[in-house]
Amino acid sequence: MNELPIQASRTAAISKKSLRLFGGLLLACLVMGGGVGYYYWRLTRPPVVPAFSLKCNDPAVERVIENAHQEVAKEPNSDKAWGRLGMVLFAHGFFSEAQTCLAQASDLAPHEPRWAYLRALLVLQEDRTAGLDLLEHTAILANSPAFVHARLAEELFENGRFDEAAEHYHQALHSSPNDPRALLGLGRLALQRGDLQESLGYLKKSTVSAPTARVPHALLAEVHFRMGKLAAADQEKRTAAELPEEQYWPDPYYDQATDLQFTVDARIDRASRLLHQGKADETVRALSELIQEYPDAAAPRAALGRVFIYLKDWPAAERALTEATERNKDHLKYQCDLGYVLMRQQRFSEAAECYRKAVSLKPGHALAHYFLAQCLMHSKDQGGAIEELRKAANCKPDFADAFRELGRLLAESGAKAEATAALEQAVQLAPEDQTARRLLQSVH
Amino acid sequence: MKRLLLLVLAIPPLALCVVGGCGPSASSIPVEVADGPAWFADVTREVELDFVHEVGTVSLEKYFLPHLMGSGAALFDYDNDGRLDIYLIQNGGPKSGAVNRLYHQEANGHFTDVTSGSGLGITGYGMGVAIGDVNNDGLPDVVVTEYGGIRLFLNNGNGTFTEITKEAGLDNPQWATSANFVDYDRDGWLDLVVVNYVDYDPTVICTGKGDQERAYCHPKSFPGSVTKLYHNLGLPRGSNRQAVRFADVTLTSGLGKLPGPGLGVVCADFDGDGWPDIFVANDAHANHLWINQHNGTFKEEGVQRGLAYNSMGSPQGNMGIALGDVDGNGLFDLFVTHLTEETNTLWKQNPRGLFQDLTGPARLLRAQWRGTGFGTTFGDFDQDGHLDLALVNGRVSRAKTIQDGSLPAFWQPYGERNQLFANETNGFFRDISSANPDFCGAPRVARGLACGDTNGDGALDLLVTNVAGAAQLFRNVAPHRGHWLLVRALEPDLGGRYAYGATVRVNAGGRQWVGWVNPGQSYLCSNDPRVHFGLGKLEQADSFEVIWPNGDKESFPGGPADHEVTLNHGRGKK
Repeated sequence: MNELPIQASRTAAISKKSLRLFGGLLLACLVMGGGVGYYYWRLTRPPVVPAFSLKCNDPAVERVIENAHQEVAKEPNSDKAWGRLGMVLFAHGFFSEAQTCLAQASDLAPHEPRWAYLRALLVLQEDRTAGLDLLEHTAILANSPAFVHARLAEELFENGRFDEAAEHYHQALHSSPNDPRALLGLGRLALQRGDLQESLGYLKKSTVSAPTARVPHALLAEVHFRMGKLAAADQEKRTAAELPEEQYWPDPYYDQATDLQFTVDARIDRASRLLHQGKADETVRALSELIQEYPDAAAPRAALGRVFIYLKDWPAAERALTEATERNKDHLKYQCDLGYVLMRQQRFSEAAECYRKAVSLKPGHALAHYFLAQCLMHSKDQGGAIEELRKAANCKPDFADAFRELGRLLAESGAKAEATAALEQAVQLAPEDQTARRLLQSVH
Repeated sequence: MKRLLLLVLAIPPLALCVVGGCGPSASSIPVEVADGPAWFADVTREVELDFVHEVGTVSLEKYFLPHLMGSGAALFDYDNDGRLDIYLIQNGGPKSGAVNRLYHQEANGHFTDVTSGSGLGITGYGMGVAIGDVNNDGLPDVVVTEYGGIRLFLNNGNGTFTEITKEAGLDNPQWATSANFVDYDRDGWLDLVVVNYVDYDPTVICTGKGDQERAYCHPKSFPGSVTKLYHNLGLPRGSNRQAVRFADVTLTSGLGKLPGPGLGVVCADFDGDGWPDIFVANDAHANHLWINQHNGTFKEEGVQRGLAYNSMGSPQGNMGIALGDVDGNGLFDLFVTHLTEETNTLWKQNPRGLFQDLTGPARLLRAQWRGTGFGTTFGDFDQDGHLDLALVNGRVSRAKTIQDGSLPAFWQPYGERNQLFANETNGFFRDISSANPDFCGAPRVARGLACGDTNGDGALDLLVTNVAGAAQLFRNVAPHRGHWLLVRALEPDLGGRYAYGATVRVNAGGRQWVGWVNPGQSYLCSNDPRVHFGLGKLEQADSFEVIWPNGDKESFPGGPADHEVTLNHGRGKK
């Protein structure tokens, strides 16, 4: 028996096996090491600043975006820089690019709810499921404010996840007791369950916390109606109708983003808001700056004209609106505003020209016909005025003032039957108009 | 050892997965992808329907808003030969050569353009169409709505129509959109409700949010206009059939008190008192529900009855309207289409007269894609006894990414895909859009959707209008369809016309289905006036019940399924 060769072959076999094993282990270690190294490199490398190629007609907007972009290039590890760029892009409608930046900001500051929240709002527009996931993720962050919970609750409600919605409304109340949006949401949930009494309770509290919010009153109208309390329902509906239709709930994260809008229209809006806050000088200053930046644009001049109308500075309004119409003579509103300013300066024939231009631009413009009628009345052209008032009433059947003035002129001209019909319609449209009632009585 | 080696070799890929973060993504709940056979096939060419919508002479770069909002279509049998014909609306403007077109359906199912000489080949900024017999002579007449007015055409019965707008006293200088015929005072004569959109100022220039390029204006840039109501004064016996007269009762009825801007309208008995009410879908504003007070006036109760806003209390896009009983409780529900960024809304009625937004629980939020919806309709397409839902989409603002390059360049950013939802049972829906490539595959800028059985097989087909594109006819090819009935509810004493506003109930197999005679639904469209029922496996209807527009209630004996049934007012059992 030849043992040596057997032993040798066994040894060789064992060596080959060991080699293979060793090779496999070495390979595995290399791959693992590579993986760990890649992970570490990903964690520590600075984020890549994307190059956006954004088409934008407004150089001022391009500048704002570019400035924010450069901040990111200077501080690529700053979540605030990424977040600001994201918000600027968000504000100007570049949603996909905004998502990229907000995602990066979130990665850099995973505990900051602001970036995750804004990203969720964007994603919701395209993919409700993914957006809802992101909102849920935002809500579990430690310092998530009440409105995030309320927003999440609304999405859950819309998806029919009522118990979860209730949970988040309660969380909102926990951090912000008497939060009207959360109270409204709980009222809505109770209504959905058919618990009208509970719904009533929540909704009434919501109206106390937010007296100018329309939605709680609208829902109260519905609840009262379901309870058979028709008068109360009508009252709540009337209250709701007097409040602004746009339901605005404070959303500081969203507001922060939209405040970064730098379009002409957005800047005009912001200036108008200053005016309503009583800051007229600042408004004029802001609009004057805008006019200097955009010398060929009519809109800032027209906006300035409207500010002077509000301030009753007729000569200044006339100057601004004349400049606006010189830059855009076919703009209906500019012509109407200029006509109004001229009327207030008793220059009725010039005003009439503006209104004639307006109705040539839009034959069905009821207000232009109405004011043209006013100008013609001052020029003692009663027939012309009646004709224009007829057109105004025909274009806009709910134009109570047109019917009243038409009735007045027809009565003066002796057309009693037609006057009566017009005044009856005026009274029907505006029962509180005592002038129309008096005129109607005098015709009778 | 081998196992150990395998294990070791397996670790790195797993490790990479862990370090690389290839776990499940944020979109963790998959939306079902529909499988199954298609329900609709595009037969436009096959039936020789060759209409292409035009938006005419005002340069597209002016972003003239009426271009974006029209136009509609009608499915109606103008010559009473038993086959549905088609009327399609153009939007080229009065100075364009683009005329509305009338197509006659021949016995072989093909359509012949019979516009020339018909009297209906008019130009204009055409929006929608309403069909109704205004003089009770048994012939359906036509109202066309336009940016700048409405026009009434009387059916002469010989393939021609005569315009009698001025003589009839119809004067609406506003931007008219959808219209409905409704006998609101139950006097036997069809009255007309016309929804008006915005008091549009074409000199206002609007820009898109991101690129600041010129764009179509949002309707909130303009004040809304009121819905108008015209009372049909009727014709005395023996008078000239052309002496139709309407009185504008907008103000006296109360509708003049609240402006829109209205896009869709549907007339039905919303509070169960037997009198028709008027629901108006207002774009970006609260919807209006005008409840008939039985004395020629209406009271607005949209807020109180839960139809003004969505579940969040917000006004939404509100364009097209579908009406039907999706959950089988005997009460109709309402579906209204909105913008891509919003969600379409399904309001379920329960109890009678009260509505709740139950879009989410109905699983309509689980859509494979979203769109800006316009025309929409409920219909039992597979005839399983449950109403399904179809809607057509097309944007009103430019999308950032273009879905398909086959549209004309200007319209590519507005193209979206249509959607189809199967009602699995009692008002719970499943998105089957991706299983219907003909109807839902290609992005278009769709607007009108009309529904009806165009080929007499008892199944509902769909007619779609597209902005600056070809009108399309989709034939129902759903396999294994259930049994069906098509009911004509007629008024023999009123010229034999359809009983607009009638409620029809079918009792079969211990179950009851309810339908309503009302072709005026969807967006800018008029549909097949027959009431369609899918009966599933049931082969026999046990009985029919009809509540006629004047309040009469009658029952009729049942009969075999898979037939067209005619029920005449006054011939049933009271």
